Amino acid sequence: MTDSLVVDDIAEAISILANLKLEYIQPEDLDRYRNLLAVQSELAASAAWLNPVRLIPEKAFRNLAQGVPLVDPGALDIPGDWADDALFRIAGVLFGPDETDRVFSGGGTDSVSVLKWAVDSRGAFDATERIGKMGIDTDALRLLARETIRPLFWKLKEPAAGRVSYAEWTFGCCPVCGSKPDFAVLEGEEGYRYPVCSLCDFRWRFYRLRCVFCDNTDEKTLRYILIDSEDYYRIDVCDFCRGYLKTIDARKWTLNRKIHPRIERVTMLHLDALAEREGFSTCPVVH
Amino acid sequence: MKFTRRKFLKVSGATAVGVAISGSLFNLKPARAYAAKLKTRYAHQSTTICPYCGVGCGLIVSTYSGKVLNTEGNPEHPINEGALCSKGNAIYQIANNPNRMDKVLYRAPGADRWEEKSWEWAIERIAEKVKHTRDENFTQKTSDGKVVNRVESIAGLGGASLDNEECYLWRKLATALGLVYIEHQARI
Repeated sequence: MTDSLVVDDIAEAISILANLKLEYIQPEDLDRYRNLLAVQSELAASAAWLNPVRLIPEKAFRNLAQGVPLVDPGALDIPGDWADDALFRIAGVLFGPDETDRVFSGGGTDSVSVLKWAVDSRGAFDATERIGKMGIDTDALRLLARETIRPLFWKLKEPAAGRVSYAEWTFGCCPVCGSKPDFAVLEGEEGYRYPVCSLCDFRWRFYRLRCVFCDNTDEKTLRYILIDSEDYYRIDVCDFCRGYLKTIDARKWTLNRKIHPRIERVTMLHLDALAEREGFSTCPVVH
Repeated sequence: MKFTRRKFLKVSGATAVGVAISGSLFNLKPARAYAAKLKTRYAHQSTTICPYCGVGCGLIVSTYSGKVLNTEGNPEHPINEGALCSKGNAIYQIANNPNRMDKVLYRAPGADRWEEKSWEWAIERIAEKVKHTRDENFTQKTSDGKVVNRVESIAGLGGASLDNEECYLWRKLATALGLVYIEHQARI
């Protein structure tokens, strides 16, 4: 297999984003996103207390075949003051100082619980009361919380690199944190498919002809949308659950840079709009 | 949590303008306008098996309106795991190559040119030639009197694209005709 085209360098991503001019993104959105990455990068550096090796013990890898993600949010020991500061800083980037002031003016925010709630795929945490106190809706709080905890998961995925085998983890969600992928990469001469986690950017191998959301394998209902002017992009869709997954075909990649998950989330925004127009979503109903 | 003026300054140093609070990082309105102008197609994918040899590598074929758009190895096929040999890689050209012959061409003995013929003519002609060759060369008994009922002037090579059931029928036909030189291309 050739060297991967996909890289994980935040500083390089921020630098490339500074020169990106895309017709379908407002410049202020791009500026905010770069600022977000910069703050997240600082938060990652400030989390020296985080011990990924301790949080992902050997036995966690043995549970992969049963579909149990490696990280248990309940085991995350996040210092309260780190969580407070991180949540506030990210809110400042996302919502601006005035709205941030309003959101946190109610006080009593249990920042650590909010962060764990955002990555809890097992339903162990409830944030209803906190949502009420903060005066924002669930979607906005989830965005805030996930963008805040994201830098921790960038570090947490490190012990999993190269240790999740295709035979053990056969699921469409991330083996590290359990989140859904938000895009995939087709790579190598064999055309292996690697979904990329929407939270921690971990990549794992998954079947080509299977829906990541509902496990549908009926070829007649698994199609993809081709964009004539950009043949390195496609949108894999499932007619059964109406889910979609943006995909980069790295074998056809002609842009003069490597593939950065943090950049591609921005450059593929028009694919989200296209999928939405065609009636597909990333939160499909599973029958 | 207590916030201070210092925190505000720190936050406002990062950005002056945030967004109205929503669950989305980006305003999709420009992306929607851009997407409306894009020329797109839906492609279907199906799995199939390479017809060229007995290895039976798996392929994924992408089609649009019944036309082959792309062929590639199937990474999930246990035999080839996505890899393809040079012939398998060129399978796309079975469907899409202007140089591919799609008519029967016949050059008569001693002729210096090709003639276009129909499939029906070609099948009849092949049947006539097989029967003629068999009738001319059929050996009922060997020189020492053993009954053999065989034809040694025709050999069969099977065909890599024949499946097991077709190979079985071909073998049966060949034996019924009296052939003894019965081989299969995939073994050679």
